[in-house]
Amino acid sequence: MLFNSIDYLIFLPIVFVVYYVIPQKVRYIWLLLASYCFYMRWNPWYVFLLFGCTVTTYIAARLIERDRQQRGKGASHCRRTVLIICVLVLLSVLGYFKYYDFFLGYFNKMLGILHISPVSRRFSLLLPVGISFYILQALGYVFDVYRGETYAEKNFLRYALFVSFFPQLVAGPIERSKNLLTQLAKPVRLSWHDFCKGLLLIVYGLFCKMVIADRIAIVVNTVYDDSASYPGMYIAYAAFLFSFQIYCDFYGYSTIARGSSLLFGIRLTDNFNAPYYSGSVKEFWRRWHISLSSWFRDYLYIPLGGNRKGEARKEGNLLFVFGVSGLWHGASVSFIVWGFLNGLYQVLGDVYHRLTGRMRRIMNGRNGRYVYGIEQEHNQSREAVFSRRLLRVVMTFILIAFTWIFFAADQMKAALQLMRQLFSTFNWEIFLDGSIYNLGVTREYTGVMFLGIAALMAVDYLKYKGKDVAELVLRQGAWFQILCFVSLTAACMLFGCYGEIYDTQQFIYFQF
Amino acid sequence: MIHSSLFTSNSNRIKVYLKRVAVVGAALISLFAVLGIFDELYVKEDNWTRILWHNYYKTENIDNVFLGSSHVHCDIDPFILDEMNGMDNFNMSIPFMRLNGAYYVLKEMTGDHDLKNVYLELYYYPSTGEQGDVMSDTSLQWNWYITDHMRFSVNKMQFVASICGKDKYLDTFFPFIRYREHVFDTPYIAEQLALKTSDDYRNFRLRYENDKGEPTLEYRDKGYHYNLGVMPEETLAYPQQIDLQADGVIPGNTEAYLRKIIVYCQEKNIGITLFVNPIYETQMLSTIEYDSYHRQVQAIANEYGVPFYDFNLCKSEYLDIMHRENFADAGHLNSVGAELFTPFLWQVLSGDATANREYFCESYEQKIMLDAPETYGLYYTYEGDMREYTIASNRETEIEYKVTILPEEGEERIVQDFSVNKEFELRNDEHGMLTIVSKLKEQPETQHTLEIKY
Repeated sequence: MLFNSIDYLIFLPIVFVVYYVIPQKVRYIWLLLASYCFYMRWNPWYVFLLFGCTVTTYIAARLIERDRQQRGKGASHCRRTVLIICVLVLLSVLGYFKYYDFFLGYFNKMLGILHISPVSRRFSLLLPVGISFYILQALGYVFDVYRGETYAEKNFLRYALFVSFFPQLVAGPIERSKNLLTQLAKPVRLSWHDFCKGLLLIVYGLFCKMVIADRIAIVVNTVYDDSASYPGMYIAYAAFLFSFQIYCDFYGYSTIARGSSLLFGIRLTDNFNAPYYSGSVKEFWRRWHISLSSWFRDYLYIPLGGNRKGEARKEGNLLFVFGVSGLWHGASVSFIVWGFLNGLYQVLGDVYHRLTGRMRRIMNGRNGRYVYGIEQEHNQSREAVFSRRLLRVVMTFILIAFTWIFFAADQMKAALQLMRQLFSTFNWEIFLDGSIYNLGVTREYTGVMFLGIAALMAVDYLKYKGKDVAELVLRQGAWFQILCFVSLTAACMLFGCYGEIYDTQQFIYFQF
Repeated sequence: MIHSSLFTSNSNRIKVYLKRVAVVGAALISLFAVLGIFDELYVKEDNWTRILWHNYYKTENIDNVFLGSSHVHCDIDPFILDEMNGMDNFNMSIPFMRLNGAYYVLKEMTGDHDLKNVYLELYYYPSTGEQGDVMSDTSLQWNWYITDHMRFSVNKMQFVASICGKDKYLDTFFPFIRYREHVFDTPYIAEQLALKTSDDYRNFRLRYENDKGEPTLEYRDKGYHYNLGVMPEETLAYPQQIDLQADGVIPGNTEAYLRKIIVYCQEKNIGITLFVNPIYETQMLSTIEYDSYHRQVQAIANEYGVPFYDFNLCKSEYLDIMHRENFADAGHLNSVGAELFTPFLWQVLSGDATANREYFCESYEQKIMLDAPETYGLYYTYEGDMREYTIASNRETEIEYKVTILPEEGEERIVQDFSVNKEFELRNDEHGMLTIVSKLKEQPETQHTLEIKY
């Protein structure tokens, strides 16, 4: 069930009304039922996979906690064994459904080199929607229990809801038990504020998805599906737009998820914090897909040693984590390259900063404090600081937009073809002679698209400055709140991509 | 910012609650007002249907309703009926009305009026083949003529739920969504605004006049489409709907609604009669398996003991209507035809079913053989770059035809000299005037000429 579908428009109000009509103590059971129904709309059989994952992690967490209670907080061979088995089971499931074909393909290539007949798969499986998300969420919970950072939930149904809570089930945010599980255990009373904010977030999310992302998708698909016909600046234009498509698509989804969740009194993690205002790739990854980045940081990067074991190890860990992150996104070399590229940017950034830092120390004297940059910034005018920041933001955006080319291409071959096409010619005139309006989006709709992007960036700027725009709106008079709600809804209905004349796009992150 | 619970109990609870209800109400009203503006800007309305529904909701009493397609509102003059039967008659007909539409319109009407009789017209075209599938997208488009104007009710909700899947709900409830390709089409918007701000539109008036100020086409009360237009001789070529008619079979869902309508009327003690209005012979002769369609309807009518009259099978001695002057086009009578047809229609509808059998043939095949030999025009289909024409006459071998064409560019040429062959073809991109001279074999005095634009 897509968030931008009529099914969800019917489903959500029903779940909402029933939720507040039934007694408090059974509400979580209703949400669990609703979540399973929500998931079963894609493929009813894969609900067993979700259930199996829930049972496995529930038992593992309970065993770990029982062992801790029996043997104390010290290290335990038993706990570690349970954890390893649990991790192996879950990763095997993920590997089988998501990476089997990928690795089998390479395995068969190797067999081909050795003149051995390839192994064929007897049946094909569809990738279960959201498997990468709920497995990571469930694993995070087991890790937390293992570390003693959270309790093992005794109520199985409540735990099952934690794993399957429908707003964030298929594309995150990947919630921590400390946030979501504890909220599920508390009684919820609907507040007017949450209700309004929830609705506002939902329509804003739909606006991002339907008005911006799906409109951009028409241009991007036109160019990327026939890249041979669209050289040079066409690819640059599509790459630029794809940066906003993927943002609006995923941010839109996450915002609808947060809004829907808020209707049930549950606050989900904000997955994005104005990422395109980042001044570096490192900062970008602190602002983009926050729940995933923090998951990898806490459960992979830090256990690998993080930055505690020297510079070389740190950079190695960084590359490894981003490579894994790429692989998590999809079973394709282009995703791995995308991940490594993001890691590489950060490694190069670190190296650059270390070198410039040393240079400055040398210039300031051997014992001089490394405060050159800060002092300089303080001494410069605000305009100069702004221009430097702007340059960094633009540079970061260009670097990130470049990596999205690998992300958008299904295969490495396609990504390389896009690269070749990108640098094949410098046909900048397409922006002036109207050629860009022949990519499936008319001049008028291109205007709507860019207005949408401008609105998004304005909202993000406020967010970047630490302001919660939804809260700002809710602090205004009722007429202003109504104006925002009506404008966004009307814009979605008039300019949104849906219905007969458009091919409604699935959320990009659903495939992961 | 209010953080209190919706259900908090305090001294101002009711006041706060009412304020919130007012905010929600204001938001919904504002939203619907904006969407209403979009409707005004973008929706290209069928003025006829709009006026009909407006007129219907203003009509105080209806005794007899004639349900069906556009054939009803063109062919039947309810004012003549009022005089003849002393009751209030109303043509509730929507272009190409499907039987599911007819069912829910009937339910709407029984909720508003104490109906005595329902006369259900069953034009073959929207009831057979692909067109007859009431769940198809084509049927949905015609059903929107109903949903766009029917007032909000449980009946309407049931109708909407029955005609489309969830993916079409938005298009159905918010008509502007169907016209979103015109979002930035300023000439189109200007045209809609000009139409919707016109006096005629605002006053629900539909009237075209000749130079003398006499009406040539007009919406008259009771759902009557007054029309003095005459089918021009040069338009006697009828585009055969061969791919849409299939084999004259009524699809299951259309048949189900026919049965539902009959049962519904019988349960409510409302008289129900089925009938088919006369259509011009060029169209009738072009139909495939018309008799099969007739037999299916007759079987259902017999099953429920309901009268069924097909005026296309009516003997010419009782209803001599098959003349071009009585028709506005190949499907619809004009008002001259309606004045001729309506009294006979009522004579049949109010008469004894057994006695009425005298007026009708058993089949269309039988009927055309009873008629004197005649050539009515042409019907055609497209085949690649060519148009395949068939001469529409009621004899296979008794008539000979000479076909001459005068292209817009080029010289006159003879396609065939007097021959019984009825089929010939012309290129799609060739246009001009086509002349058919027909005569009975060996009887030159019966010669008759038709000039048809092609």
